[in-house]
Amino acid sequence: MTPRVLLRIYLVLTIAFIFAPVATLALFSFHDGQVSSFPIDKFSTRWYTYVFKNQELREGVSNSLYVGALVSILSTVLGFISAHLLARRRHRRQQTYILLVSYPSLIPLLLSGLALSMYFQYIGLIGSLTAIAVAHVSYTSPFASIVIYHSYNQLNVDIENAASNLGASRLRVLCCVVAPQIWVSLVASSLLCFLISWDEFIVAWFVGGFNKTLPVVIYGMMGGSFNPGLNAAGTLSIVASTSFLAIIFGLFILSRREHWHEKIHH
Amino acid sequence: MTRLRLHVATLLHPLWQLCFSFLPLLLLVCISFWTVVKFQLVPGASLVNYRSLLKSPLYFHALTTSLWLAASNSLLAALIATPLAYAIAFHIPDRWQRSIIFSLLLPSLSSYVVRMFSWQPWLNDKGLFSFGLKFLGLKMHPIIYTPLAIRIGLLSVLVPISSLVIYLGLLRIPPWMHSTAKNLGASDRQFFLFLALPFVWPGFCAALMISFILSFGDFVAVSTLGGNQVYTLSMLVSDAIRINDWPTAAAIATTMIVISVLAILGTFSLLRLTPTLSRKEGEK
Repeated sequence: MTPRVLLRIYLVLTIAFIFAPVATLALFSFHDGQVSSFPIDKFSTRWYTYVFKNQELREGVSNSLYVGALVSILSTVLGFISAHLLARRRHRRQQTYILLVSYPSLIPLLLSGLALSMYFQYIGLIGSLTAIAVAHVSYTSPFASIVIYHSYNQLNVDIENAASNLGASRLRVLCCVVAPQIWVSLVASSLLCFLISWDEFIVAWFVGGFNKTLPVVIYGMMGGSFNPGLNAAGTLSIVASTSFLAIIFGLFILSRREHWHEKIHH
Repeated sequence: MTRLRLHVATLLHPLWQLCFSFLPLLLLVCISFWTVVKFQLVPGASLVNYRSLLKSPLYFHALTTSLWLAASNSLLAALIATPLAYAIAFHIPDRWQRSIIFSLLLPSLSSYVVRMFSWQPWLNDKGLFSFGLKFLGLKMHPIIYTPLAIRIGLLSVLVPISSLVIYLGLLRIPPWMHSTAKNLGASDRQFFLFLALPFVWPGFCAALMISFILSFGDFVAVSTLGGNQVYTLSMLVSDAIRINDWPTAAAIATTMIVISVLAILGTFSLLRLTPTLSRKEGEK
């Protein structure tokens, strides 16, 4: 067998390895029995009705949505500002600035969660959803910054210079000139931050206290007696994340197409 | 006035990170020097927490387990991911490349807790692997609650991320290099060793670092798939917090921070070993 064929087989096997648990999760979520094992005799959607009626899960979802919305907005704003500054100003210490802004993403979340749970006790924010949002913003804003920074190569800096020559303030240039052009990456970065926050467990667990986001609720349900409703809840969560990812991906393709469009027609 | 506003804007993002990431970590390190007297937290400067850690065999067991798990998993993930990224970059038509990378990332960007949970039916004693093996007439010790289960769970997350990072590095290879090398008679192996490797190496190091950080601080996979049988530093920290022993938890966490920083610095020195090409990319 040629290396080509071997590599292709390797690719298929690895993808199968990564998708296998997700596939079985979805499969078992339609299983009518209590135990997640073969053989599957009856199929039903009873676990999905259970999930929709479960109060704890619904609270988890609404908490996650609230936190995610806060995180996506704040992160995108912060990331936009730092990306703009990195792209437009030649700092003497650009590397230091990047490090100062991005280092929270390099710290294991367990340690940030621990530190923040102690910190928030002292400043009185512990146990609230706002605290979780604030913690998540620290972690996700570097990603927002990277995404937005990469869209700057399609901008023409002369337009911004012209605008400020005509009297626009810096803020106005940001909002009225730059933002409308890179709106795709702004949306993509807010969705990405929402997604990261939606799936994040450990910091939310440490900081949230009794306010549980969805992953915290799921983790709590895992500890006790085996709960097959978790299969349905898990599948729904993955479907939600996947749809968001698909939207982000579609936005990237869209922005590429716009970019090509401009390049050809200039 | 606008000068001032500009300075404020410049500092906004770093200030946020300072307030909500650096200061909490600083507080954590400080708390590691405090003591608990009669259930009250007493500020101070004492090394008693660290001394008790150094005397504790449980700590060393957890430390070695964590280090071994993180190091071996990050190396495994990067090694598994490299041929994968290479296959995607060079043996898949361009149109499909993005879709395949996307579908690789798809499961791994959905809820971490859910994904570890979804490995359980595969790995437990009534699970699917045992089912398949029974078919073949073999009986095997259930994989769940062993380090192997944790390894499988972690790899299912680390491999996609590693392959994305390495793939992004491979993308920087100028498209003409591959065809030119082929025209000049280079085999696939020669191309990989002499031309692709300098592009692979930074991605490989980045993948190693990211995987190490992720597995070292991992809690979900260890507790879900390892149960109480595999004890790592993350379990030790959560146990300490559960009994409200902040100083001990802070001390363990501080040692973990030190190790993580060392790992990051180590990666930077690995990066310096990047083999350089004789001509820079960008020159035609």
